[in-house]
Amino acid sequence: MYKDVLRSIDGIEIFPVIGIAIFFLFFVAWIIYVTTMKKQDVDTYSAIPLDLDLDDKIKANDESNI
Amino acid sequence: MVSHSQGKGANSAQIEHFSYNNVLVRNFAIATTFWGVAGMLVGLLIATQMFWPEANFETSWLTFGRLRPLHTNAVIFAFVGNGMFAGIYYAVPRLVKARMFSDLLGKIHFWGWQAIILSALITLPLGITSSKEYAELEWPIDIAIALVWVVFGINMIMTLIKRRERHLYVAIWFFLATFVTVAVLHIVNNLELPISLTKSYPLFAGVQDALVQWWYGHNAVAFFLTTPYLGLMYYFVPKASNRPIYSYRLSIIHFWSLIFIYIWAGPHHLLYTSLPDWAQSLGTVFSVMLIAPSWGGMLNGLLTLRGAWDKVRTDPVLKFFVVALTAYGMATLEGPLLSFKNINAHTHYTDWTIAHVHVGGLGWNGLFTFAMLYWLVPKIYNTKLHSIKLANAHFWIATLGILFYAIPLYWAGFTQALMWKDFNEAGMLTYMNFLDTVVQLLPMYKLRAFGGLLYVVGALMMVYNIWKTIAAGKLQPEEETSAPALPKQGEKIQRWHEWIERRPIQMTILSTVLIAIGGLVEFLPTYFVESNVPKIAAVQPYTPLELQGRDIYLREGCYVCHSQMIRPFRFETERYGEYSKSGEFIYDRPFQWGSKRTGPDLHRLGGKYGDSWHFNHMLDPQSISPGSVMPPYPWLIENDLDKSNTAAKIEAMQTLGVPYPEGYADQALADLDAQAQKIAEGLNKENIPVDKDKEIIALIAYLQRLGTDIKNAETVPDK
Repeated sequence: MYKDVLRSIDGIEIFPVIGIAIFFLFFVAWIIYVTTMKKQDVDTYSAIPLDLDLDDKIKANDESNI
Repeated sequence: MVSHSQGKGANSAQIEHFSYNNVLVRNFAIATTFWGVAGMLVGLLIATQMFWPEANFETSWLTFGRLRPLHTNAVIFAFVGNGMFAGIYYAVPRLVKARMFSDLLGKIHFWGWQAIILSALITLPLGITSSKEYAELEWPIDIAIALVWVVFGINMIMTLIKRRERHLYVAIWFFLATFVTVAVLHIVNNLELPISLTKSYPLFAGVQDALVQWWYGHNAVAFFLTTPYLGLMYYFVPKASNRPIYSYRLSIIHFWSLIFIYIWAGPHHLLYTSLPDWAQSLGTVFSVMLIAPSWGGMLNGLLTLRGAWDKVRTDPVLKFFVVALTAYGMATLEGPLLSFKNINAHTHYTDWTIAHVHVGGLGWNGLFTFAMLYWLVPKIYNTKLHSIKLANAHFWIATLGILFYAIPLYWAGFTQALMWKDFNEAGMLTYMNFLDTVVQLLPMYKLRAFGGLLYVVGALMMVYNIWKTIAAGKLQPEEETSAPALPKQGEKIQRWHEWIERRPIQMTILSTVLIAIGGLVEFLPTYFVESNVPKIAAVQPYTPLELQGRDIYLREGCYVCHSQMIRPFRFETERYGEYSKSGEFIYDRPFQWGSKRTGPDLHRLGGKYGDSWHFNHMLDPQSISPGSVMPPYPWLIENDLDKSNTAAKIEAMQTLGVPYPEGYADQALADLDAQAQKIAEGLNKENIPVDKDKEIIALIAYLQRLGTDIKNAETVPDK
């Protein structure tokens, strides 16, 4: 039955292609983004919950070797 | 203390003094403890009823069908809900260095939420229910939930707007996604037409209602039980182990991929049902993809503890976190596996599902909440935990409790599924009597209840421990602190995600768009493409008496033990009859497909037995089916049917598009009486003295109608 439903929509073939493309680009974009983040920024952000002084934050992160 | 955004050179920035409100945190912490124990006790009672049905003490309020929704609602919305709020009201101000926006909104949120829980505690045992799993509360309470939820959202977002920390830490993204998604899910799934203060009909019917319900049901797990707790994980695990999260980069991928993918996976609850195949496949594909972000998050939490494993040996808080995260990992691997059609064909409707959700509920949410309370309560009471030893004992008894709970139920699920599909050499079902497959499981149900008992005992140990801690300490209602003011102009944004990481409103909107995509793709075709739900000419609207009977079926929560969805397998059609077609449900508001078969499927029950069989069976199930675990329903025979709302019900159905003839509401009562009279006369002839105005008559009318439209049709459609 689902084939009939899908056939009744004009240009349906392009939908899955667009879907996978959006999906792929979305994740590639994130991966590129996170891999090119500055280490110092990452360190500062990840230390926010610890409520330390900035120097301590950096030290804590250096020790953890992220 | 220096906010990172000013850098080292900004020590001259104006330091502002303010305080954090710990009273609300304390209130929510007490509420989660109290409702947690209450919800677990209800769970223990209904687990006992599974092998000892007399444990309903012959009152309608305490039957399994009414208490099971109370248990799920209490655990999800009262225990996890209050736990989530305790954590959020503690973490958010500290992450953004600002007091929560409004004490008043906080109070309204707290007391509003408790009032909603109390109303659930009253209405569900009374049988006031919309009968949609985890959304059973009726429309006035639904509106109250929406309002209180918005109060919570405003309070949180306004806090973020007046924050003193430029960057929004990843935990906050999870909280924002939780807020918007739960709001969307709750509103869409509870679109209903009220006919009185305590009764409404959903705007969607049959397949569409099922799709909306499981889009909601699945994502209630995702966005009420998972995302807020992941946010709490990103705060409390680093906090308790005093080390930053393993990988902040991974947390960014984790967040966006999790919220994007989760929302698509709902249809995996409806595999092999009458839902269109394309929607089922979509649910499976996205469920499998979900393993990646789920495990990314779990590993991120666990690896945060690397280098601190020595502490895990001694610190009960970290122990609870480790097992909670492990349970999360197991449940999120199991979920995608269960969404494969071939595995689901085996597990669906069995106790396996119950085991699965309890690994998540007891393991992930439960143990995480305990850890958070053990860490947080001493902090706000400015003292130390009363007894580390007792907390460690709690850890072990809770972990054992989970094993005793889950393993027998996995066993039961396997056993029952194999028995359901067992054919003998003659090609007949070996266990044609459904009850044979239930009796086999009773030892497993007893072990499960024992596991639940262990878990509750552990929780009570925590109550004692926390109570002694509170007695020894003194609440610090206002926690004084200070932080540099956030300059109006921040430093230049160099990267695009930095832009969104600083903007709570835009982040909220983007999250909404992402979760809306999946939802819309799933519903819109089913709603608008008419051929997705083919009409079957033989399927007619319910008669007024059947409609009233159906509402009794809803009230008693029959759907929690009986499905109305025969899957297209030989072992199902041999047992129950022709498999269910989507066109058969177009007048079902709400749909009653169910999700668990403690008793047999009822979709083709109509005409299978005589009226007297049903009468005797409802009065005393064991007299008809010796060994049955179904409770008796004597009040159906004593209670008069409330017919006063018949016309209103017919009119409501007409408004929703059910093709009763124009003006039928005026005639409905007479038709109802005539049909009731006929059934009562039939029973009287069989020496059953019963009046036509009793509730049982309406219920029998409905049960005898079930699935008969197609039986009576000359040709049987494929779908």
